[in-house]
Amino acid sequence: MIFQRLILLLSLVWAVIGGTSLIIYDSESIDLDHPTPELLKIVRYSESKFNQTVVRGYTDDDLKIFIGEESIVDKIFILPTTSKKILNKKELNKVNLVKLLEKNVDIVVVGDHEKNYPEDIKDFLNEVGIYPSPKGYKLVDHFNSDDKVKLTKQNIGCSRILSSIDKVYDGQSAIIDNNENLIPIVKASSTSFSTNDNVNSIDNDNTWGIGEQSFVVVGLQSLSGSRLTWFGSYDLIDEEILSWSLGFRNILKLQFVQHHKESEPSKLDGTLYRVSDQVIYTIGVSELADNEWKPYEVEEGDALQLSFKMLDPYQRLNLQPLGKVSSTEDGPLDTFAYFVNFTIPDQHGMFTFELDHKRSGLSYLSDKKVVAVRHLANDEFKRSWEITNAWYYIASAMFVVVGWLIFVVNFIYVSRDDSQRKNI
Amino acid sequence: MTSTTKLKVLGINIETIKLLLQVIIFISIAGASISSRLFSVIRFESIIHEFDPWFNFRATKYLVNHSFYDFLNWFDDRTWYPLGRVTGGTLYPGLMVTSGVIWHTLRDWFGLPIDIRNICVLLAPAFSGLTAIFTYFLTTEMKDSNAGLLAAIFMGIAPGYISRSVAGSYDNEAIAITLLMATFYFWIKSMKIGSVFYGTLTALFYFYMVSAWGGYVFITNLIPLHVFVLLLMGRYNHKLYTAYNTWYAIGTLASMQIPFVGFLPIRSNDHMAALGVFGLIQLVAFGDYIKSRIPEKQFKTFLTVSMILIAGLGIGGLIGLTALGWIAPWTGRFYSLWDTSYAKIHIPIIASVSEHQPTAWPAFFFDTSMLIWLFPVGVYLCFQDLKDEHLFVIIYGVLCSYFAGVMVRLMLTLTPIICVSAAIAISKLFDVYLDLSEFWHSSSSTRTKLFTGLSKLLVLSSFTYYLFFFVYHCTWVTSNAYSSPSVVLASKNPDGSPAIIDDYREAYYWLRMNTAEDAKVMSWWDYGYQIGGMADRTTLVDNNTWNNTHIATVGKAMCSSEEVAYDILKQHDVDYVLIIFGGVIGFSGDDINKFLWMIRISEGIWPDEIHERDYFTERGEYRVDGQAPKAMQESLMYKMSYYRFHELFMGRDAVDRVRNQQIPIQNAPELSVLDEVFTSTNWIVRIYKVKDADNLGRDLKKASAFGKNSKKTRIAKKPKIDLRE
Amino acid sequence: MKKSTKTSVIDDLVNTINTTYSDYVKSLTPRTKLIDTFLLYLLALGILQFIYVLLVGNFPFNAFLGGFISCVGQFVLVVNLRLQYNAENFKIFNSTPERALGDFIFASLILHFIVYHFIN
Repeated sequence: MIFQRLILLLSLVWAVIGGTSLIIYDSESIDLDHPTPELLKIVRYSESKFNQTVVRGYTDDDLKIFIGEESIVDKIFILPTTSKKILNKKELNKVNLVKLLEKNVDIVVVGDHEKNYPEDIKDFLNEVGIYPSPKGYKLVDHFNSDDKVKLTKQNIGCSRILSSIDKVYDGQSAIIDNNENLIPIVKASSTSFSTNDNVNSIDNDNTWGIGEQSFVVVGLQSLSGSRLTWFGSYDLIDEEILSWSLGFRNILKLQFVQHHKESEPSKLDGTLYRVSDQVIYTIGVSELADNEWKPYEVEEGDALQLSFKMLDPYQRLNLQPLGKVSSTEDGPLDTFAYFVNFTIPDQHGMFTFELDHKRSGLSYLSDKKVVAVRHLANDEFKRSWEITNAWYYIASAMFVVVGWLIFVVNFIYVSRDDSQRKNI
Repeated sequence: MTSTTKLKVLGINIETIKLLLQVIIFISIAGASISSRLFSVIRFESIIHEFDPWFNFRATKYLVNHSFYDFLNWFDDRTWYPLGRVTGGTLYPGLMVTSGVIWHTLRDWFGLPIDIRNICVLLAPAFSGLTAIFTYFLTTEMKDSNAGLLAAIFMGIAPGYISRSVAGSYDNEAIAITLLMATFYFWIKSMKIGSVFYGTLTALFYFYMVSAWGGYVFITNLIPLHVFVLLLMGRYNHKLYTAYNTWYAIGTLASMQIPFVGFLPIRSNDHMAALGVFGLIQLVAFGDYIKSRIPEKQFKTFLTVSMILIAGLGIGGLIGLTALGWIAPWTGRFYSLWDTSYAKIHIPIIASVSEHQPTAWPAFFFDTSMLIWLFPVGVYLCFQDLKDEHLFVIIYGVLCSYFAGVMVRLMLTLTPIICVSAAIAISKLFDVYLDLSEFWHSSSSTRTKLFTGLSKLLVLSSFTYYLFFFVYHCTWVTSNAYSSPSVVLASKNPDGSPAIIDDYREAYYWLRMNTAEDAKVMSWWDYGYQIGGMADRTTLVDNNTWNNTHIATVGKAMCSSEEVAYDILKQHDVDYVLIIFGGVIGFSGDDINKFLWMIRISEGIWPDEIHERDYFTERGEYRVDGQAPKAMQESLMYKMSYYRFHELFMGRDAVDRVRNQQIPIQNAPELSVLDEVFTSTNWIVRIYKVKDADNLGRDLKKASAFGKNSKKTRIAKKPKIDLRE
Repeated sequence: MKKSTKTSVIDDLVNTINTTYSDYVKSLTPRTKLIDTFLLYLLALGILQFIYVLLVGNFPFNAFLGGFISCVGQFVLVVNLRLQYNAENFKIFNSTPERALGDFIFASLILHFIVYHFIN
């Protein structure tokens, strides 16, 4: 038992260094000694990119994904299968798939219009918001001579993920809901629809998706940074899309966040500011491209925005570009710095420096820093002697004291005089 | 008129013996008053009680750990998140400064580093001894030192005062009553002598009182009222003029130095009486001066003309200035004193505090024992002897009796004058009945002597018995009613042995040890100070209740459904939610019982979204069982209170011991936006953690239901979803 | 008839004022003269301040209050002193003139200290 655990632990360590990918295939209809070309292609790709590639079938009993609460794989490929049965339901079920996305595991799912998904995979996709068409439904476009759908540059939903496509396709498509984290990568053409019945006229009962409401490649960017990609069929798998799906590019990293008073540049990240202070807020962002961190420059017309808020934003400011910096001492210039110089509003309270940058195709940047903004202290107001209006009152108060002194002195003198006179 | 032969007993001067007796009596009074306040320290431990004292304690700790300048400009970022609170300018610093000074003196001058907590806990008993001494001085001015001693004893152990000054009740009233007595003593003395020195002392103690308690308005109105009545009775004299003017000029100026008071003495209607009497006394002095110079008849005409002029100007000026907005009209608290139902309709927060309810009759006897029926006797005796100072007792007594009848809390201000007048009454009685001189000197017959002696003995013995009973009553009341720290509850096990219910501290300590330092806790405002003091975590609302909208926001989150509440929780960065649930152990002060107030307060701000009648059944009952209406069953408070409650009853219907209702197992609530993280031993305190937004962007209710139902769908049906934009 | 009562009222008033004034002038001693001059001086200062407020506005309110109340407070304290020094009143007050002066100085010093703190 312990020995087994040790081995698994070692493999975990090894996996973390180089990455482990798990490919789940249909072991009942495909023999690993004579694999289908599609499966082979994926296995070769995975072996070229990752340290360890594990290939398991749906009905294999040594399909292992978790040790306790930790995952031992970094990427998972879920390939189509004829059988709907999963043997190791404890490891591969819909709840665990959701958990895997939380643990930064990227998942790629491939569909086939002639095959049904296992129950858990289908429920998982539906939960995320992707509803693939059932077995038998095909995407057709009667405006083309071969009734297949032409996918060109116009069908690309997110140019960051895919730059060009030129394919002819008929296969599974999906309809998706309005989950904001879903990114339609390739959508169907406006004249196409998905149906399982080529004889009767189309109506709601025998179509799945119509026109541009059908999608053939859909991505999901989760808040934790992991990605889920669904392909309608093997034909649509593209290396460019895969490099996005497996986290080799378009990942943003917030290298540093700093804020300080303009007048005190050495005191960084203080927790207490005062109303009407001048504050400088600086961040550095890197982007992963070709497995290297490069400085992230926002597109034309776009900007990173700082929200200085307390329940509601008091200030919404666009960050100005500062220049390329490096995140480590004497390292390469891998970060782009942005800054903004602004005045704290005239309201005391607990304010948040909120940075929220969500762009289609990029991973999300989200950072919150809470600081306290205090009111003016009693001696930070304009003092009375500085206010010209008050000079008169100060003068009169002083006159009172001076008069009083004179009075007291005279009084004692006079009363002495008085008593002397009395004595006389 | 001293006699040439001084009486000697055992060779010692009678005056010395009297002095010695007085000192011994003082020491024993101080000892009695201090020791009768120590019940909770002995039974439990030296701990701060209740709710408000925890805030004062936290402020005092801040003061001793930082400088006075920091304290004055303290911006508290751990309360009222995210609004923060400018604490330096919104509290009465007298109490904290007193503790801080004592701590510094003991530590730096005497070399006794006493922990600040012990100083705070024992400050009230220490000051109660001082109160007794000042009451002695005050009553001596009224009658003589015998009455003074009696008043000191009464004040030392009267439960009405003890209730707010036990060891551990570190609240403003602890020193405020002492300063009240001191200010009144100096006022009476300065009025009797007409000395500027005593008038200045009155003003200085008044300033100290203003820095200590919001109830200083009482002094601000009582002294002018006293002067006004004297003027009406035609008892103007120069001593009165001297005393009042010195007090008003210096006292008002000094009271404006406190940041919390600011310019109120000039601006608010509460203080206008003092200003009015100030002006009036100038005019009366002037009139008196003229009166002494000219014949009577001429003076009469002069008087009538000037009175008409002044009355017209005065009233017109007051109305005009109020209408122009220069003077703020009377506040809500003031209105609620005169119209007891005002608060319930207009300001629910004030009405919901139990201390602000009208006083029940038995409470008077409970708090003062036999003194309550001696009180009118004392007032009557003052009428007989109607000097200027007796008039003060009468006015104070009558005015305060009315206010004490309106609010339970104001029993505290009535207690001193009850002690004073009861002391006058008993002292007068003893003067007559303890006069045994005729036994020695008079020459009446033995039979008369016997009868007088018998009647004197009868009266004396019955009053001695009353005094003993008084002490016994006070000690019993203190021990049973006013010594509970209310942080720790005491009850009995089924076998009779005492059981300590320490759930509160258990929960606060859990919070302190198991949550991040900047975690934000949302609870109802009652527990805010305790969470801030014991758990040291940021709270959203607390007992200060200065921002009604923020409290209403918390109330809305508690009484709305999970989706609505989640938006509010996320907007305010809440990490944990804490509620009190008494259904397991039968503790009736829990949040479900306070739920109606939460609804009412939030309905005041959002009348469109929250309706109080939605939370009652159709028949108008407040039910939590199967008949509870939908709004009640979906509210966050209901779900939090009864979450997993059925696990205690193993499959049967759960029984709520406070409401005495059964919650059927079908209604067992489920939570999708909160995770339960802590429930105390007796289920009194329950803490929940707010879930983060879903990783995949799903609705949290949908996310928590995922994986629970295992319905197999054989045929894939096209889902009904909106068009993708 | 009415006319005569009216004139008699006015006559009475005028008489009152005249008698008082002449009486007052007669009873002045050097000491009380000094006190009265000081009183007039304070009164003038106070009225000037009030006029200034009406003209310019009371912007630094604490400064205005400080200055004004120092005049009023001092005025009142001086009047107290005067009352105590009046020969007839000594018996009522049963204190010595030195005591009265001492009290006066004590109270005035406190008044000035608070005023200066107020104006900061």
